Amino acid sequence: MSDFDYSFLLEVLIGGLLSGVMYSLVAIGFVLIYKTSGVLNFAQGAMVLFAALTFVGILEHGVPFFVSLLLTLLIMAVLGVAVEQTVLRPLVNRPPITLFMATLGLAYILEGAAQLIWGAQVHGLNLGFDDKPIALGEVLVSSFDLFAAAVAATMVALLSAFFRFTRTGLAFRAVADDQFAALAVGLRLPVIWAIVWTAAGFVALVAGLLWGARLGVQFSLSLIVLKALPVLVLGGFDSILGAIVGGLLVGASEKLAEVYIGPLFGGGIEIWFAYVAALALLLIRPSGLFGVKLVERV
Amino acid sequence: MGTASLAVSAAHLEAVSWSVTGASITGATRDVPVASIGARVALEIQNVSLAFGGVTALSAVDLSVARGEIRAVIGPNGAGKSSLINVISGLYRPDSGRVQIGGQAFTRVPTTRLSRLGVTRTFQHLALFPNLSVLDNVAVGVAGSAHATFVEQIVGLGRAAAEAAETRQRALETIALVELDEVKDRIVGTLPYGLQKRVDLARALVSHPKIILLDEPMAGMTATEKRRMAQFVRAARDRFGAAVVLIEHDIGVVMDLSDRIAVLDYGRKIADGTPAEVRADQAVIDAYLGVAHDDELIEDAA
Repeated sequence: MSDFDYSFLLEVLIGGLLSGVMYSLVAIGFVLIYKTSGVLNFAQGAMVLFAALTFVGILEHGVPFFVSLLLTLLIMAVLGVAVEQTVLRPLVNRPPITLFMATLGLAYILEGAAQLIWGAQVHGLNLGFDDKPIALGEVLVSSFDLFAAAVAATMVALLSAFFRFTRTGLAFRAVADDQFAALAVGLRLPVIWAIVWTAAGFVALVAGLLWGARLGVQFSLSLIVLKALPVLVLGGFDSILGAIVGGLLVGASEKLAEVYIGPLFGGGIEIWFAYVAALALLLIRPSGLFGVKLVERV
Repeated sequence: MGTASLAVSAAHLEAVSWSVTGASITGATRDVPVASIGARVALEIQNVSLAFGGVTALSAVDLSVARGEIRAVIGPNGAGKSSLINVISGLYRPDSGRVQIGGQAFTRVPTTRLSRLGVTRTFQHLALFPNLSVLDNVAVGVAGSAHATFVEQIVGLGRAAAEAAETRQRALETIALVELDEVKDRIVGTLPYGLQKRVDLARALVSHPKIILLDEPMAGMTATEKRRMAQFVRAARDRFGAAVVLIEHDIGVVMDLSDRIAVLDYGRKIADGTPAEVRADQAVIDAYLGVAHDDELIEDAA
Protein backbone atom coordinates (compact mmCIF):
# COMPACT_ATOMS: atom_id res chain seq x y z
CA MET A 1 0.00 0.00 0.00
CA SER A 2 2.92 2.33 -0.61
CA ASP A 3 0.92 4.28 -3.13
CA PHE A 4 -2.14 4.72 -0.92
CA ASP A 5 -4.21 7.60 -2.26
CA TYR A 6 -4.67 9.95 0.67
CA SER A 7 -6.48 12.63 -1.27
CA PHE A 8 -9.03 10.02 -2.32
CA LEU A 9 -9.44 8.99 1.32
CA LEU A 10 -9.95 12.64 2.24
CA GLU A 11 -12.47 13.05 -0.54
CA VAL A 12 -14.48 10.07 0.63
CA LEU A 13 -14.26 11.28 4.22
CA ILE A 14 -15.46 14.80 3.42
CA GLY A 15 -18.20 13.50 1.16
CA GLY A 16 -19.28 11.19 3.97
CA LEU A 17 -19.23 13.91 6.61
CA LEU A 18 -21.30 16.20 4.44
CA SER A 19 -23.89 13.55 3.69
CA GLY A 20 -23.89 12.90 7.43
CA VAL A 21 -25.06 16.47 7.95
CA MET A 22 -28.20 15.53 6.07
CA TYR A 23 -28.79 12.65 8.49
CA SER A 24 -28.25 15.01 11.41
CA LEU A 25 -30.96 17.31 10.07
CA VAL A 26 -33.52 14.56 10.31
CA ALA A 27 -32.23 13.37 13.66
CA ILE A 28 -32.47 16.85 15.23
CA GLY A 29 -36.20 16.82 14.61
CA PHE A 30 -36.41 13.63 16.66
CA VAL A 31 -34.27 15.02 19.44
CA LEU A 32 -36.36 18.18 19.86
CA ILE A 33 -39.50 16.19 20.50
CA TYR A 34 -37.90 13.41 22.46
CA LYS A 35 -36.15 15.83 24.81
CA THR A 36 -39.22 17.81 25.73
CA SER A 37 -41.93 15.18 25.71
CA GLY A 38 -40.18 11.83 25.90
CA VAL A 39 -41.90 10.71 22.71
CA LEU A 40 -39.97 8.98 19.97
CA ASN A 41 -41.73 10.63 17.07
CA PHE A 42 -41.80 8.04 14.35
CA ALA A 43 -43.72 10.50 12.18
CA GLN A 44 -40.67 12.75 11.78
CA GLY A 45 -39.94 11.19 8.39
CA ALA A 46 -43.54 11.65 7.33
CA MET A 47 -43.29 15.28 8.43
CA VAL A 48 -40.25 15.68 6.20
CA LEU A 49 -42.25 14.28 3.28
CA PHE A 50 -45.30 16.35 4.16
CA ALA A 51 -43.29 19.57 4.43
CA ALA A 52 -41.39 19.00 1.20
CA LEU A 53 -44.49 18.00 -0.77
CA THR A 54 -46.44 20.95 0.57
CA PHE A 55 -43.66 23.33 -0.32
CA VAL A 56 -43.27 21.96 -3.83
CA GLY A 57 -47.03 21.85 -4.31
CA ILE A 58 -47.37 25.49 -3.38
CA LEU A 59 -44.34 26.42 -5.46
CA GLU A 60 -45.77 24.68 -8.51
CA HIS A 61 -48.84 26.88 -8.27
CA GLY A 62 -46.60 29.74 -9.24
CA VAL A 63 -46.12 31.15 -5.74
CA PRO A 64 -42.70 32.81 -5.23
CA PHE A 65 -40.05 30.82 -3.38
CA PHE A 66 -40.02 32.70 -0.10
CA VAL A 67 -43.78 33.04 0.08
CA SER A 68 -44.04 29.28 -0.40
CA LEU A 69 -41.50 28.81 2.35
CA LEU A 70 -43.47 31.02 4.74
CA LEU A 71 -46.77 29.36 3.84
CA THR A 72 -45.30 25.91 4.40
CA LEU A 73 -43.86 27.03 7.71
CA LEU A 74 -47.28 28.28 8.71
CA ILE A 75 -48.86 24.98 7.71
CA MET A 76 -46.25 23.07 9.73
CA ALA A 77 -47.08 25.28 12.73
CA VAL A 78 -50.78 24.52 12.35
CA LEU A 79 -49.88 20.86 12.07
CA GLY A 80 -47.80 21.08 15.26
CA VAL A 81 -50.68 22.59 17.20
CA ALA A 82 -53.13 20.08 15.74
CA VAL A 83 -50.92 17.15 16.72
CA GLU A 84 -50.67 18.48 20.26
CA GLN A 85 -54.43 18.90 20.54
CA THR A 86 -55.58 15.67 18.91
CA VAL A 87 -52.79 13.19 19.59
CA LEU A 88 -50.66 14.22 22.55
CA ARG A 89 -53.18 15.76 24.91
CA PRO A 90 -55.60 12.81 25.01
CA LEU A 91 -52.66 10.49 25.64
CA VAL A 92 -51.08 12.42 28.50
CA ASN A 93 -49.53 10.12 31.11
CA ARG A 94 -49.84 7.04 28.92
CA PRO A 95 -46.79 4.82 28.64
CA PRO A 96 -44.18 5.83 26.04
CA ILE A 97 -45.04 2.83 23.85
CA THR A 98 -48.60 4.14 23.46
CA LEU A 99 -47.33 7.51 22.30
CA PHE A 100 -44.86 5.83 20.00
CA MET A 101 -47.67 3.83 18.41
CA ALA A 102 -49.68 7.01 18.05
CA THR A 103 -46.86 8.67 16.14
CA LEU A 104 -46.61 5.55 13.97
CA GLY A 105 -50.26 6.04 13.08
CA LEU A 106 -49.65 9.72 12.58
CA ALA A 107 -46.89 8.86 10.12
CA TYR A 108 -49.35 6.96 7.94
CA ILE A 109 -51.92 9.73 8.12
CA LEU A 110 -49.36 12.38 7.14
CA GLU A 111 -47.93 10.31 4.31
CA GLY A 112 -51.41 9.60 3.01
CA ALA A 113 -52.62 13.15 3.42
CA ALA A 114 -49.58 14.64 1.72
CA GLN A 115 -49.98 12.41 -1.32
CA LEU A 116 -53.74 12.80 -1.37
CA ILE A 117 -53.41 16.55 -1.52
CA TRP A 118 -50.35 16.95 -3.71
CA GLY A 119 -50.28 13.72 -5.70
CA ALA A 120 -47.90 10.79 -5.54
CA GLN A 121 -45.69 11.57 -8.52
CA VAL A 122 -42.10 12.60 -8.09
CA HIS A 123 -41.62 16.36 -8.04
CA GLY A 124 -38.34 17.90 -8.97
CA LEU A 125 -37.05 20.58 -6.66
CA ASN A 126 -34.43 23.04 -7.74
CA LEU A 127 -33.04 25.18 -4.96
CA GLY A 128 -31.45 27.41 -7.54
CA PHE A 129 -27.90 26.38 -8.20
CA ASP A 130 -25.92 23.74 -10.03
CA ASP A 131 -24.29 21.00 -8.10
CA LYS A 132 -20.81 21.57 -9.46
CA PRO A 133 -17.94 19.96 -7.61
CA ILE A 134 -15.56 22.44 -6.06
CA ALA A 135 -11.87 21.65 -5.98
CA LEU A 136 -10.24 22.23 -2.60
CA GLY A 137 -6.65 21.44 -3.39
CA GLU A 138 -6.76 17.94 -4.82
CA VAL A 139 -10.07 17.12 -3.18
CA LEU A 140 -13.35 17.51 -5.01
CA VAL A 141 -16.32 18.50 -2.84
CA SER A 142 -19.95 18.69 -3.87
CA SER A 143 -21.08 22.32 -3.72
CA PHE A 144 -24.59 21.20 -2.90
CA ASP A 145 -23.31 19.27 0.09
CA LEU A 146 -21.45 22.35 1.25
CA PHE A 147 -24.59 24.41 0.87
CA ALA A 148 -26.58 21.83 2.83
CA ALA A 149 -23.97 21.85 5.57
CA ALA A 150 -24.11 25.64 5.75
CA VAL A 151 -27.91 25.59 6.01
CA ALA A 152 -27.77 22.94 8.70
CA ALA A 153 -25.15 24.87 10.64
CA THR A 154 -27.22 28.05 10.45
CA MET A 155 -30.29 26.20 11.63
CA VAL A 156 -28.48 24.61 14.56
CA ALA A 157 -27.06 28.03 15.50
CA LEU A 158 -30.54 29.56 15.37
CA LEU A 159 -32.02 26.77 17.45
CA SER A 160 -29.24 27.05 20.02
CA ALA A 161 -29.66 30.81 20.27
CA PHE A 162 -33.39 30.33 20.66
CA PHE A 163 -32.92 27.82 23.48
CA ARG A 164 -30.29 29.93 25.12
CA PHE A 165 -31.74 33.43 24.98
CA THR A 166 -35.53 33.37 24.84
CA ARG A 167 -38.05 32.83 27.57
CA THR A 168 -39.70 30.02 25.63
CA GLY A 169 -36.28 28.51 25.11
CA LEU A 170 -35.73 28.57 28.86
CA ALA A 171 -39.11 26.92 29.35
CA PHE A 172 -38.04 24.22 26.85
CA ARG A 173 -34.89 23.52 28.75
CA ALA A 174 -36.82 23.42 32.00
CA VAL A 175 -39.35 20.96 30.60
CA ALA A 176 -36.57 18.84 29.14
CA ASP A 177 -34.83 18.79 32.50
CA ASP A 178 -37.80 17.83 34.67
CA GLN A 179 -41.37 17.69 33.44
CA PHE A 180 -42.91 17.42 36.87
CA ALA A 181 -40.98 20.40 38.19
CA ALA A 182 -41.99 22.34 35.10
CA LEU A 183 -45.64 21.65 35.83
CA ALA A 184 -45.10 22.52 39.45
CA VAL A 185 -43.85 26.01 38.63
CA GLY A 186 -46.75 26.59 36.27
CA LEU A 187 -45.18 26.17 32.86
CA ARG A 188 -47.80 25.23 30.31
CA LEU A 189 -46.73 21.92 28.94
CA PRO A 190 -49.32 21.77 26.13
CA VAL A 191 -48.19 25.14 24.80
CA ILE A 192 -44.57 24.08 24.95
CA TRP A 193 -45.33 20.80 23.19
CA ALA A 194 -47.14 22.63 20.40
CA ILE A 195 -44.15 24.94 19.94
CA VAL A 196 -41.74 22.01 19.97
CA TRP A 197 -43.75 20.20 17.32
CA THR A 198 -43.75 23.36 15.28
CA ALA A 199 -39.98 23.62 15.63
CA ALA A 200 -39.70 19.97 14.63
CA GLY A 201 -41.91 20.80 11.64
CA PHE A 202 -39.52 23.61 10.73
CA VAL A 203 -36.57 21.25 10.94
CA ALA A 204 -38.52 18.74 8.85
CA LEU A 205 -39.11 21.41 6.22
CA VAL A 206 -35.42 22.27 5.97
CA ALA A 207 -34.48 18.59 5.81
CA GLY A 208 -37.23 17.96 3.25
CA LEU A 209 -36.01 20.74 0.98
CA LEU A 210 -32.42 19.58 1.05
CA TRP A 211 -33.22 15.89 0.68
CA GLY A 212 -35.91 16.69 -1.88
CA ALA A 213 -33.47 18.70 -3.97
CA ARG A 214 -31.17 15.71 -4.02
CA LEU A 215 -33.58 12.77 -4.38
CA GLY A 216 -36.64 14.46 -5.83
CA VAL A 217 -39.65 15.11 -3.64
CA GLN A 218 -41.35 11.75 -3.39
CA PHE A 219 -42.60 9.10 -1.04
CA SER A 220 -39.19 7.66 -0.25
CA LEU A 221 -38.38 10.88 1.67
CA SER A 222 -40.38 9.50 4.56
CA LEU A 223 -38.01 6.53 4.69
CA ILE A 224 -35.07 8.69 5.74
CA VAL A 225 -36.52 8.26 9.20
CA LEU A 226 -34.84 4.85 9.09
CA LYS A 227 -31.48 6.48 8.46
CA ALA A 228 -31.99 8.77 11.44
CA LEU A 229 -32.37 5.86 13.83
CA PRO A 230 -28.72 4.72 13.85
CA VAL A 231 -27.74 8.38 14.14
CA LEU A 232 -29.88 8.68 17.24
CA VAL A 233 -28.59 5.44 18.70
CA LEU A 234 -25.03 6.69 18.22
CA GLY A 235 -25.60 10.21 19.46
CA GLY A 236 -28.22 9.63 22.12
CA PHE A 237 -31.88 10.49 21.74
CA ASP A 238 -31.79 13.61 23.87
CA SER A 239 -28.79 15.54 22.65
CA ILE A 240 -28.75 17.91 19.69
CA LEU A 241 -24.97 17.84 19.74
CA GLY A 242 -25.21 14.06 19.75
CA ALA A 243 -27.47 14.14 16.69
CA ILE A 244 -24.90 16.23 14.84
CA VAL A 245 -21.93 14.11 15.81
CA GLY A 246 -23.92 10.92 15.26
CA GLY A 247 -24.91 12.07 11.80
CA LEU A 248 -21.32 12.91 10.89
CA LEU A 249 -20.10 9.57 12.23
CA VAL A 250 -22.71 7.60 10.34
CA GLY A 251 -22.11 9.54 7.13
CA ALA A 252 -18.34 9.24 7.25
CA SER A 253 -18.13 5.65 8.44
CA GLU A 254 -20.62 4.28 5.94
CA LYS A 255 -18.89 5.94 3.01
CA LEU A 256 -15.45 4.83 4.17
CA ALA A 257 -16.74 1.33 4.80
CA GLU A 258 -18.34 1.19 1.38
CA VAL A 259 -15.16 2.23 -0.35
CA TYR A 260 -12.58 0.32 1.66
CA ILE A 261 -14.39 -2.69 3.11
CA GLY A 262 -17.28 -2.91 0.66
CA PRO A 263 -15.41 -4.77 -2.09
CA LEU A 264 -14.72 -7.63 0.33
CA PHE A 265 -18.48 -8.19 0.65
CA GLY A 266 -19.27 -7.48 -2.96
CA GLY A 267 -20.30 -3.89 -2.30
CA GLY A 268 -23.55 -2.30 -1.08
CA ILE A 269 -22.62 -2.33 2.60
CA GLU A 270 -23.37 1.40 2.83
CA ILE A 271 -27.01 0.46 3.22
CA TRP A 272 -26.61 -1.57 6.37
CA PHE A 273 -23.27 -0.48 7.82
CA ALA A 274 -24.76 2.26 10.00
CA TYR A 275 -27.11 -0.20 11.70
CA VAL A 276 -24.32 -2.61 12.50
CA ALA A 277 -22.23 0.25 13.89
CA ALA A 278 -25.18 1.39 16.01
CA LEU A 279 -25.73 -2.14 17.26
CA ALA A 280 -22.08 -2.45 18.20
CA LEU A 281 -22.19 0.83 20.09
CA LEU A 282 -25.34 -0.24 21.93
CA LEU A 283 -23.38 -3.12 23.39
CA ILE A 284 -20.80 -0.72 24.82
CA ARG A 285 -22.77 2.47 25.59
CA PRO A 286 -26.52 1.85 25.73
CA SER A 287 -27.29 5.56 26.12
CA GLY A 288 -25.31 6.63 23.06
CA LEU A 289 -22.28 8.88 22.99
CA PHE A 290 -24.02 11.94 24.40
CA GLY A 291 -27.24 10.63 25.86
CA VAL A 292 -28.18 11.03 29.50
CA LYS A 293 -27.54 7.87 31.45
CA LEU A 294 -30.78 6.47 32.67
CA VAL A 295 -30.70 5.58 36.33
CA GLU A 296 -33.73 3.70 37.47
CA ARG A 297 -34.38 2.66 41.02
CA VAL A 298 -36.58 -0.34 41.35
CA MET B 1 -44.13 8.64 45.29
CA GLY B 2 -43.86 8.05 41.56
CA THR B 3 -47.52 7.22 41.22
CA ALA B 4 -48.53 10.11 43.40
CA SER B 5 -46.63 12.67 41.35
CA LEU B 6 -48.08 11.27 38.16
CA ALA B 7 -51.57 11.60 39.52
CA VAL B 8 -50.89 15.16 40.53
CA SER B 9 -49.48 16.06 37.16
CA ALA B 10 -52.49 14.49 35.49
CA ALA B 11 -54.83 16.59 37.57
CA HIS B 12 -52.69 19.60 36.89
CA LEU B 13 -52.71 19.04 33.17
CA GLU B 14 -56.47 18.79 33.05
CA ALA B 15 -56.64 22.17 34.61
CA VAL B 16 -54.04 23.64 32.33
CA SER B 17 -55.60 25.06 29.25
CA TRP B 18 -54.25 25.90 25.88
CA SER B 19 -55.90 29.27 26.02
CA VAL B 20 -53.50 32.12 26.56
CA THR B 21 -56.27 34.48 27.52
CA GLY B 22 -56.65 32.81 30.89
CA ALA B 23 -60.38 32.39 30.39
CA SER B 24 -59.79 28.80 31.18
CA ILE B 25 -61.81 28.37 34.33
CA THR B 26 -63.01 24.82 34.71
CA GLY B 27 -66.74 24.33 34.77
CA ALA B 28 -66.82 23.65 38.47
CA THR B 29 -65.01 26.81 39.43
CA ARG B 30 -67.02 29.74 40.53
CA ASP B 31 -65.42 33.07 40.35
CA VAL B 32 -67.33 35.49 42.48
CA PRO B 33 -65.84 38.72 43.75
CA VAL B 34 -66.56 39.03 47.42
CA ALA B 35 -66.86 42.50 48.82
CA SER B 36 -67.08 41.50 52.47
CA ILE B 37 -63.42 40.59 52.83
CA GLY B 38 -61.41 43.07 54.78
CA ALA B 39 -58.79 44.96 52.83
CA ARG B 40 -55.96 43.42 54.80
CA VAL B 41 -56.93 39.82 54.24
CA ALA B 42 -54.90 38.28 51.43
CA LEU B 43 -56.05 34.70 51.74
CA GLU B 44 -59.06 33.17 53.38
CA ILE B 45 -59.90 29.51 53.60
CA GLN B 46 -63.47 28.83 54.62
CA ASN B 47 -64.77 25.56 55.93
CA VAL B 48 -62.59 23.43 53.66
CA SER B 49 -62.95 19.66 53.85
CA LEU B 50 -61.08 17.09 51.84
CA ALA B 51 -61.08 13.31 51.99
CA PHE B 52 -59.18 10.69 50.05
CA GLY B 53 -61.53 7.74 49.99
CA GLY B 54 -62.22 7.05 53.65
CA VAL B 55 -59.28 9.06 54.94
CA THR B 56 -60.10 12.56 56.05
CA ALA B 57 -57.26 14.92 55.20
CA LEU B 58 -58.99 18.18 56.12
CA SER B 59 -62.14 18.66 58.12
CA ALA B 60 -63.93 22.02 58.06
CA VAL B 61 -60.73 24.03 58.27
CA ASP B 62 -60.84 27.84 58.39
CA LEU B 63 -57.75 29.93 57.99
CA SER B 64 -57.27 33.58 57.23
CA VAL B 65 -53.96 35.19 56.39
CA ALA B 66 -53.43 38.94 56.37
CA ARG B 67 -51.11 40.87 54.14
CA GLY B 68 -47.62 41.04 55.54
CA GLU B 69 -48.31 38.26 57.97
CA ILE B 70 -46.25 35.12 58.48
CA ARG B 71 -48.77 32.43 59.27
CA ALA B 72 -47.51 29.06 60.35
CA VAL B 73 -49.47 25.86 60.03
CA ILE B 74 -48.13 23.16 62.28
CA GLY B 75 -49.18 19.68 63.24
CA PRO B 76 -47.86 16.13 63.37
CA ASN B 77 -47.12 14.17 60.22
CA GLY B 78 -50.33 13.44 58.34
CA ALA B 79 -52.22 16.26 60.05
CA GLY B 80 -53.18 17.74 56.66
CA LYS B 81 -50.69 20.59 56.33
CA SER B 82 -49.48 19.77 52.85
CA SER B 83 -53.04 18.98 51.77
CA LEU B 84 -54.00 22.47 52.85
CA ILE B 85 -51.26 24.01 50.71
CA ASN B 86 -52.25 21.81 47.80
CA VAL B 87 -55.83 23.05 48.13
CA ILE B 88 -54.64 26.67 48.13
CA SER B 89 -52.48 26.08 45.07
CA GLY B 90 -55.21 24.27 43.19
CA LEU B 91 -53.59 20.84 43.05
CA TYR B 92 -56.43 19.39 45.14
CA ARG B 93 -60.06 20.22 44.80
CA PRO B 94 -61.72 20.37 48.21
CA ASP B 95 -64.93 18.36 48.77
CA SER B 96 -66.53 21.41 50.30
CA GLY B 97 -65.69 24.92 51.38
CA ARG B 98 -63.93 27.59 49.43
CA VAL B 99 -60.73 29.53 49.08
CA GLN B 100 -60.66 33.30 48.67
CA ILE B 101 -57.59 34.84 47.14
CA GLY B 102 -57.34 38.59 46.79
CA GLY B 103 -61.12 39.03 47.00
CA GLN B 104 -62.03 36.24 44.60
CA ALA B 105 -63.64 33.04 45.80
CA PHE B 106 -62.94 29.63 44.31
CA THR B 107 -64.11 26.11 44.99
CA ARG B 108 -61.15 24.91 43.05
CA VAL B 109 -58.30 27.35 42.63
CA PRO B 110 -57.45 27.49 38.91
CA THR B 111 -53.79 26.56 38.57
CA THR B 112 -53.42 28.54 35.35
CA ARG B 113 -54.30 31.76 37.12
CA LEU B 114 -52.18 31.30 40.21
CA SER B 115 -49.33 33.46 39.01
CA ARG B 116 -51.75 36.22 38.04
CA LEU B 117 -53.35 35.97 41.46
CA GLY B 118 -49.88 36.47 42.91
CA VAL B 119 -49.58 33.05 44.53
CA THR B 120 -46.27 31.18 44.53
CA ARG B 121 -44.95 28.25 46.49
CA THR B 122 -41.91 26.21 47.36
CA PHE B 123 -41.88 22.46 47.63
CA GLN B 124 -41.24 20.06 50.45
CA HIS B 125 -39.43 17.82 48.01
CA LEU B 126 -37.44 20.09 45.77
CA ALA B 127 -38.87 20.61 42.29
CA LEU B 128 -35.90 22.42 40.82
CA PHE B 129 -34.30 21.89 37.42
CA PRO B 130 -31.04 20.20 38.42
CA ASN B 131 -29.27 20.70 35.08
CA LEU B 132 -30.00 24.41 34.72
CA SER B 133 -28.09 27.24 36.35
CA VAL B 134 -29.30 29.05 39.45
CA LEU B 135 -30.11 32.09 37.33
CA ASP B 136 -32.16 30.04 34.87
CA ASN B 137 -33.99 28.22 37.65
CA VAL B 138 -35.01 31.52 39.18
CA ALA B 139 -35.89 33.06 35.82
CA VAL B 140 -38.33 30.22 35.16
CA GLY B 141 -40.38 31.70 37.99
CA VAL B 142 -41.30 34.68 35.82
CA ALA B 143 -41.46 32.81 32.52
CA GLY B 144 -45.19 32.40 32.98
CA SER B 145 -45.95 36.06 33.47
CA ALA B 146 -44.10 37.54 30.50
CA HIS B 147 -46.14 38.82 27.60
CA ALA B 148 -43.97 39.03 24.50
CA THR B 149 -45.30 36.81 21.77
CA PHE B 150 -43.40 33.87 20.45
CA VAL B 151 -42.49 35.66 17.23
CA GLU B 152 -41.28 38.74 19.07
CA GLN B 153 -39.02 36.49 21.10
CA ILE B 154 -37.55 34.89 18.01
CA VAL B 155 -36.75 38.17 16.34
CA GLY B 156 -35.75 39.62 19.67
CA LEU B 157 -37.65 42.80 18.97
CA GLY B 158 -40.08 45.05 20.75
CA ARG B 159 -41.24 43.89 24.12
CA ALA B 160 -39.13 40.73 23.96
CA ALA B 161 -35.78 42.44 24.39
CA ALA B 162 -36.99 44.70 27.20
CA GLU B 163 -38.69 41.78 28.86
CA ALA B 164 -35.64 39.56 28.66
CA ALA B 165 -33.60 42.31 30.31
CA GLU B 166 -36.24 42.83 32.97
CA THR B 167 -36.50 39.11 33.68
CA ARG B 168 -32.77 38.94 34.16
CA GLN B 169 -32.77 42.02 36.35
CA ARG B 170 -35.50 40.65 38.57
CA ALA B 171 -33.85 37.27 38.79
CA LEU B 172 -30.59 38.90 39.83
CA GLU B 173 -32.31 41.05 42.47
CA THR B 174 -34.05 38.03 43.92
CA ILE B 175 -30.84 36.04 43.93
CA ALA B 176 -29.25 38.90 45.84
CA LEU B 177 -32.14 38.88 48.31
CA VAL B 178 -31.40 35.30 49.30
CA GLU B 179 -27.65 35.90 49.04
CA LEU B 180 -26.89 33.48 46.26
CA ASP B 181 -24.91 35.95 44.10
CA GLU B 182 -21.74 33.95 44.26
CA VAL B 183 -23.30 30.80 42.84
CA LYS B 184 -25.70 32.36 40.34
CA ASP B 185 -24.06 30.66 37.34
CA ARG B 186 -23.60 27.29 38.99
CA ILE B 187 -25.64 24.29 37.89
CA VAL B 188 -28.21 23.73 40.61
CA GLY B 189 -27.65 19.99 40.83
CA THR B 190 -24.10 20.65 42.00
CA LEU B 191 -25.11 22.84 44.95
CA PRO B 192 -25.51 21.59 48.50
CA TYR B 193 -29.04 20.92 49.67
CA GLY B 194 -29.34 24.02 51.84
CA LEU B 195 -28.50 26.27 48.93
CA GLN B 196 -30.93 24.42 46.68
CA LYS B 197 -33.68 25.21 49.17
CA ARG B 198 -32.73 28.89 48.82
CA VAL B 199 -32.92 28.61 45.03
CA ASP B 200 -36.43 27.21 45.45
CA LEU B 201 -37.33 30.20 47.64
CA ALA B 202 -35.80 32.64 45.14
CA ARG B 203 -37.82 31.11 42.33
CA ALA B 204 -40.97 31.59 44.36
CA LEU B 205 -40.08 35.23 45.09
CA VAL B 206 -39.00 36.38 41.65
CA SER B 207 -42.57 37.03 40.53
CA HIS B 208 -43.03 39.48 43.45
CA PRO B 209 -45.85 37.41 44.93
CA LYS B 210 -48.68 38.53 47.19
CA ILE B 211 -49.08 35.12 48.75
CA ILE B 212 -46.14 32.80 49.39
CA LEU B 213 -46.72 29.18 50.34
CA LEU B 214 -43.68 27.58 51.96
CA ASP B 215 -43.87 23.83 52.41
CA GLU B 216 -41.18 22.90 54.93
CA PRO B 217 -38.56 25.35 53.65
CA MET B 218 -36.15 24.36 56.42
CA ALA B 219 -36.53 20.60 56.40
CA GLY B 220 -33.21 18.86 56.65
CA MET B 221 -31.23 22.03 57.32
CA THR B 222 -28.66 22.68 59.99
CA ALA B 223 -29.49 25.18 62.75
CA THR B 224 -27.38 27.87 61.08
CA GLU B 225 -29.01 27.32 57.72
CA LYS B 226 -32.43 27.49 59.37
CA ARG B 227 -31.63 30.84 60.97
CA ARG B 228 -30.55 32.27 57.63
CA MET B 229 -33.60 30.86 55.89
CA ALA B 230 -35.79 32.51 58.54
CA GLN B 231 -34.07 35.82 57.77
CA PHE B 232 -34.82 35.42 54.09
CA VAL B 233 -38.46 34.60 54.74
CA ARG B 234 -38.78 37.78 56.82
CA ALA B 235 -36.94 39.78 54.18
CA ALA B 236 -39.30 38.49 51.51
CA ARG B 237 -42.35 39.37 53.61
CA ASP B 238 -41.02 42.88 54.22
CA ARG B 239 -39.97 43.39 50.64
CA PHE B 240 -43.22 42.38 48.97
CA GLY B 241 -45.66 42.87 51.83
CA ALA B 242 -46.71 39.33 51.09
CA ALA B 243 -48.81 36.95 53.13
CA VAL B 244 -46.68 33.94 54.01
CA VAL B 245 -48.11 30.52 54.79
CA LEU B 246 -45.40 28.50 56.45
CA ILE B 247 -45.41 24.78 57.10
CA GLU B 248 -42.55 23.81 59.33
CA HIS B 249 -41.75 21.10 61.84
CA ASP B 250 -39.13 22.98 63.81
CA ILE B 251 -41.20 24.47 66.62
CA GLY B 252 -38.41 26.79 67.69
CA VAL B 253 -38.26 28.38 64.23
CA VAL B 254 -42.05 28.56 64.00
CA MET B 255 -42.49 30.24 67.39
CA ASP B 256 -39.79 32.72 66.54
CA LEU B 257 -40.81 33.54 62.97
CA SER B 258 -44.60 33.46 62.93
CA ASP B 259 -47.15 36.15 63.69
CA ARG B 260 -49.93 33.63 64.12
CA ILE B 261 -49.97 29.86 64.25
CA ALA B 262 -52.71 27.41 63.32
CA VAL B 263 -52.44 23.88 64.67
CA LEU B 264 -53.84 20.94 62.75
CA ASP B 265 -54.38 17.47 64.11
CA TYR B 266 -56.00 14.70 62.07
CA GLY B 267 -57.24 17.26 59.57
CA ARG B 268 -58.94 19.39 62.19
CA LYS B 269 -57.84 22.81 63.34
CA ILE B 270 -57.45 22.52 67.10
CA ALA B 271 -55.93 25.91 67.87
CA ASP B 272 -55.19 29.23 66.25
CA GLY B 273 -53.48 32.29 67.66
CA THR B 274 -50.23 34.02 68.49
CA PRO B 275 -47.22 31.88 69.38
CA ALA B 276 -47.76 32.60 73.06
CA GLU B 277 -51.43 31.65 72.91
CA VAL B 278 -50.72 28.44 71.04
CA ARG B 279 -47.94 27.52 73.42
CA ALA B 280 -50.35 27.84 76.32
CA ASP B 281 -53.29 26.11 74.64
CA GLN B 282 -54.25 22.93 76.50
CA ALA B 283 -55.59 21.20 73.38
CA VAL B 284 -52.28 21.79 71.63
CA ILE B 285 -50.27 20.55 74.56
CA ASP B 286 -52.43 17.43 74.75
CA ALA B 287 -52.65 16.68 71.07
CA TYR B 288 -49.34 17.89 69.86
CA LEU B 289 -46.70 18.88 72.30
CA GLY B 290 -47.68 16.74 75.26
CA VAL B 291 -48.68 13.50 73.63
CA ALA B 292 -46.04 11.94 71.42
CA HIS B 293 -47.05 11.62 67.80
CA ASP B 294 -43.57 12.08 66.58
CA ASP B 295 -40.35 11.82 68.53
CA GLU B 296 -38.56 14.38 66.46
CA LEU B 297 -41.11 17.05 67.27
CA ILE B 298 -40.75 16.54 70.97
CA GLU B 299 -37.02 16.93 70.71
CA ASP B 300 -37.40 20.10 68.69
CA ALA B 301 -39.89 21.53 71.14
CA ALA B 302 -37.66 20.84 74.09
